[in-house]
Amino acid sequence: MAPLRFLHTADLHLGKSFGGYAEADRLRVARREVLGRLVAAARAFGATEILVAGDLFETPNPAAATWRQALAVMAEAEELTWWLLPGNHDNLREGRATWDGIAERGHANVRVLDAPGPVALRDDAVLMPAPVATRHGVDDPTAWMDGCPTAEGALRIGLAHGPVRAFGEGEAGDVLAPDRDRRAGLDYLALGDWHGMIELSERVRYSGAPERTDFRHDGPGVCLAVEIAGPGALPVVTPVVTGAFDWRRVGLDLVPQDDACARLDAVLPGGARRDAMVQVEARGRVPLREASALAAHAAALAPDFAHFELRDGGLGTEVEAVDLDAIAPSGALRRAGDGLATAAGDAALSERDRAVAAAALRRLHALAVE
Amino acid sequence: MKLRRIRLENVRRFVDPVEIGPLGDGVSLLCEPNEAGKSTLFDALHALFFQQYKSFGKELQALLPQAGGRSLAVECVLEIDGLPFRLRKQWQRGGGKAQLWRDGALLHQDEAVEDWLRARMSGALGGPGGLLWVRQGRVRVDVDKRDKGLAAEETAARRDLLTAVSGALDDVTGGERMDRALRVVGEDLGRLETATGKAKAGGAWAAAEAELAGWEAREADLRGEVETFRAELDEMQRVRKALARLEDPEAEAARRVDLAQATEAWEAARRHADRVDMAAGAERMARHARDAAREALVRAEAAREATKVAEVAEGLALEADDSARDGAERAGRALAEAEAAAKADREAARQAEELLRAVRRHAEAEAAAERRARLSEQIARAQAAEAARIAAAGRAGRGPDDRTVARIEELLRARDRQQSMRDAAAPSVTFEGEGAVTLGGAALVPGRAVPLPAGGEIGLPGLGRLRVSVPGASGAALDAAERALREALDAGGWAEMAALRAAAQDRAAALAEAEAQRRTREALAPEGIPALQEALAALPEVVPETDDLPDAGEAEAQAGAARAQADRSAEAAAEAAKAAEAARIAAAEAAADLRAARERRATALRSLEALPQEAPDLSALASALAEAEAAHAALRAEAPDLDALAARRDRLTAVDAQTRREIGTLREARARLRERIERGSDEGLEERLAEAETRLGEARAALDRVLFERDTLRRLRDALEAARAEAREAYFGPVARELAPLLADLWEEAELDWSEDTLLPTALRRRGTTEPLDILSGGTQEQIAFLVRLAFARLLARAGRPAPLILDDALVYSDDDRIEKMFNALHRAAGDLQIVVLSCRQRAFSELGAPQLRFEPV
Repeated sequence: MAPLRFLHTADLHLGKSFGGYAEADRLRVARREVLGRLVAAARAFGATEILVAGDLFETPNPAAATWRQALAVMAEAEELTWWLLPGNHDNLREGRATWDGIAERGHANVRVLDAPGPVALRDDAVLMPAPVATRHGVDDPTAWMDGCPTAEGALRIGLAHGPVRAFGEGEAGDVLAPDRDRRAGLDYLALGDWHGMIELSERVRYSGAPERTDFRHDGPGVCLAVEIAGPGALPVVTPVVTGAFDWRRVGLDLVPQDDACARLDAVLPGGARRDAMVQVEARGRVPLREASALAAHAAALAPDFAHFELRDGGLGTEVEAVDLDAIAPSGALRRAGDGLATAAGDAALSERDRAVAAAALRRLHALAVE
Repeated sequence: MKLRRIRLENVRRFVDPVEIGPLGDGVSLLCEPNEAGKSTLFDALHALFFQQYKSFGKELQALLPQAGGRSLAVECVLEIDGLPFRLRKQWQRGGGKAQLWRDGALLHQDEAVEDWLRARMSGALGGPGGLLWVRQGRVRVDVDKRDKGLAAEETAARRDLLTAVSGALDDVTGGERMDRALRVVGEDLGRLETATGKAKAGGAWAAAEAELAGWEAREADLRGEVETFRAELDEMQRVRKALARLEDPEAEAARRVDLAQATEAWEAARRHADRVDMAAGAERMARHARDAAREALVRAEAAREATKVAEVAEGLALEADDSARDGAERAGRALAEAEAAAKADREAARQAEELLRAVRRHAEAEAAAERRARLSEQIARAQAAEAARIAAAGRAGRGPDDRTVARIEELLRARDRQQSMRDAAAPSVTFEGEGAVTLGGAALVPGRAVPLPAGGEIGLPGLGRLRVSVPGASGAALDAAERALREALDAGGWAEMAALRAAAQDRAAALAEAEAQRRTREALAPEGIPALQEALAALPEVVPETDDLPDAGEAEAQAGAARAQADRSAEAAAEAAKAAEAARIAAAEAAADLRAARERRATALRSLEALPQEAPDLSALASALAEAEAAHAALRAEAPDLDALAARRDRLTAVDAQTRREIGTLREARARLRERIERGSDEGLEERLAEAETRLGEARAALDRVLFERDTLRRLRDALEAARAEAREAYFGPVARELAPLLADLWEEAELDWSEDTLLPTALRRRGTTEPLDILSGGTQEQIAFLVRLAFARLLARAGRPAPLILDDALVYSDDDRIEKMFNALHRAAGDLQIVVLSCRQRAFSELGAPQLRFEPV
């Protein structure tokens, strides 16, 4: 038999809004265009099948423009067949109208997998889908695969959506058996729900989202190019980058002796900054002057990036005499600085009051050193 | 630092050197008249400490005497920390000289002297050379705006004075950096909130709240729409499932089979029921036949009995009929007789009535003739009275009416008045003698005075006439009156008034006559003569009939008797008619009874004849009935429950119809839901809700950030203000403490507010009120400024850096009472201070009680 080649992807979350980001429009466009990048990846790989392991859409009933335009892109790639599995976000019960709408349009290369049961992927390969019926399921939807007979010598490809352990990306309550491949004799189990690519075993993988949705997973989104030589053969899996944006959550651990700005520069990712979504998590303790300098440096860097965010809530500020001297060596300004520094470290105050005092101190310091 | 001696050389008026001194501690007074050189001394000291020895600028040139000179010099002996120093500066064009001696030994020269001075002047509290300078009349706190030059100098003086403390103030209060920090924080905060701490319109805080409120509302709206949308999706699922169940071909086929079977069962049951009905009919027929036979037997017996009874009854009826017919004939005859008698009596009565009417007509004719005669007479009398009235009225019409008479009488009275007036005014003439002497044609009576009319003529028979002329008495009015009277009389044809009056009387009599005749005519013919004539014409001209008639009473009696008789005979005839009718009815009834009896007998006979010849077989009929009953019961026992089958058939029919209706309803619902769902899908409700939820979260976070920023700015502002307030207190506190006892000498419980900008007092607080200094009197302002400087001097001394206080005519606005209090304050403050008072007010300052200084030639 000819090797089976297909793309494994999931969690496109088409229609997701990015209202909290300044570049929300670009992010939405990138998400919409990821279908085209999947098509290109499939063609480049020589695959004819694209398996979407759930959460094609962000909501069960996306806007008509969302699903119809997506359907149009899929339908235009006539040599490719899209196997669409409802996930928890676009589950069957709530998203029935959408799935019915897609099915009713009758594109031969777009197949909605709305029922558990074997489907011929090709003559010598069977796709075994486990659609998510409701947002909060209670049973393992892949259980039926164990006893499902298929033709002798046919490849058995499982397709499911949900967590295998408590690291789910959302509300999916179904917990999939991580060894379903062995139990059901699957050659490959394509999973969705986890937005980062992860290999659970040689035959079980989460593809991750082809375009990232947040900072929980570093790097640009990918899909998996899967090739299976024949029954019993181990799949050969190659990640293919499809994400337009490089999402990075960067840890910045600082000690009082550090040059905070230099450390920040050192940990920033390379590559095109305009397509980089960066979240810097500053931790540790720095002197007041360094905290002020770091905030100013971050503000100066931010416009280079599609998104840049310095989270310094976990960064402690040490107020040293030299910092207070910078405000004023004596007099009223110094006394104001002393008072704020004391309040910022006063355990008797609420956390917010301490934070307000610390912010006020940083502001005073910044004013003094300008 | 203290001044012990001062020397001036070639300074203004002091071309020759002079000295002031020695100067002791406490208060010293240089009291000289104007132009004596006090300000010169002040300016010279200022130059010594502030003008470089190398300079020779305008200020120094201004110190040169008017007579000129090439150089000037100022020298003083200072005591610093108990050591004596002698400082001398000489200025001249092209370069001067500075020298400093200590204990008689030259310590520094030129630049070294300037350095030494700068070191003494640069101390934080020492001020410029450790001196406090108050120029002449320039101790008011505010600037005197009336003199710009003076104001500028005043400002310079104040700046000089405060230079000693301004550096410390910046250190304490933060100076410009604190101002800038507060300004920046205030501006940042001002962009967020109002002065009262509310969100400022257009600011980030208000915008964040508005954004949050907007997204909350939008999220709530969208959530509602999405819930509706999802409910519609659920409803669509339900409808689809229901439709799938109802439209399932197998289910539909099963429904149809059930319905067909139920219909077939019901029809079979109905056919069985028909058979039961037929058996019931046969049973009824058999029972009827048996019952009919029983009744036939009973009827035959009854017919025979009835025939016998009818024959007896017929005989009795025949007898009664004969008797009745006889009675009727008798009554008929009696009736004919009575009717004949009645007819005759009616005729007699008619004739009597005719006679009575003739008698009455005759009487009426006679009465009518009498009335015609009376009317004719009345008409004749009325016509005569009317003719007399017309004649009298004609007479009355010819006489003068009352108005004419009255008018002419008035003319007569007018003429008489004129005449009397003329007579009264005219001369009179009295004829004495005899003879027919006339006046105006009338004979004069001798001895009787007669008025002499104007133009009158006196006739003297035989002699001629005397024409009298009376000047001024023309008699025209009398003539006019007489002419008017005459014309009026002539108009009616009356010769004199008597004729007029007689004619008036005739007219009155004729009017009376006419009225009398009118009343007569009215009495005779109240409605007019034509009415009487019409009444007369209406009376019939009846000719009385012949006299061969009875009188009315007799005719009346005859007629009454005849009517009574006719009535009686009529009653008799009526009674006879009643009897005849009763007899006729009795005869008819008897005949009817006879016919009925005959009919009953005939009927009985026919019934008897109609009876079957043979009696029916009752037992056979009873057996047939039993068979029919048994057959009916058997069929009934086998009958299915038709109602139950009908109900099942109806139910299944209804189910089928209901299913079709429900399918129709569901299809409509599906179409409606599909439309709404497609619309909801087109609108992307869930995506919009997700967007709104995200934006709502962001809006909340944004508001939190703004509020954190606001609180941060408030916290910083409060910290800065609190620190500055504390610093201000720390700075002004010592001065205020020094000032307090000095102020108390003038005002009880008085305090000063201080300006952070000028570091000078801005307001006086006393007795609970705050008064800005610029509204206080000039004297009060001067005194406050004076005391403030004393306080500063005290403060400097307390800090171990005593500085001389030089006051040049500092109390020019103070009255005698206040100036004494100021002197007290000076002595209270003096202590170990050195205060030099320069004044031209010798009398006022004689009370200062200070050692007097003099310019002493050297």
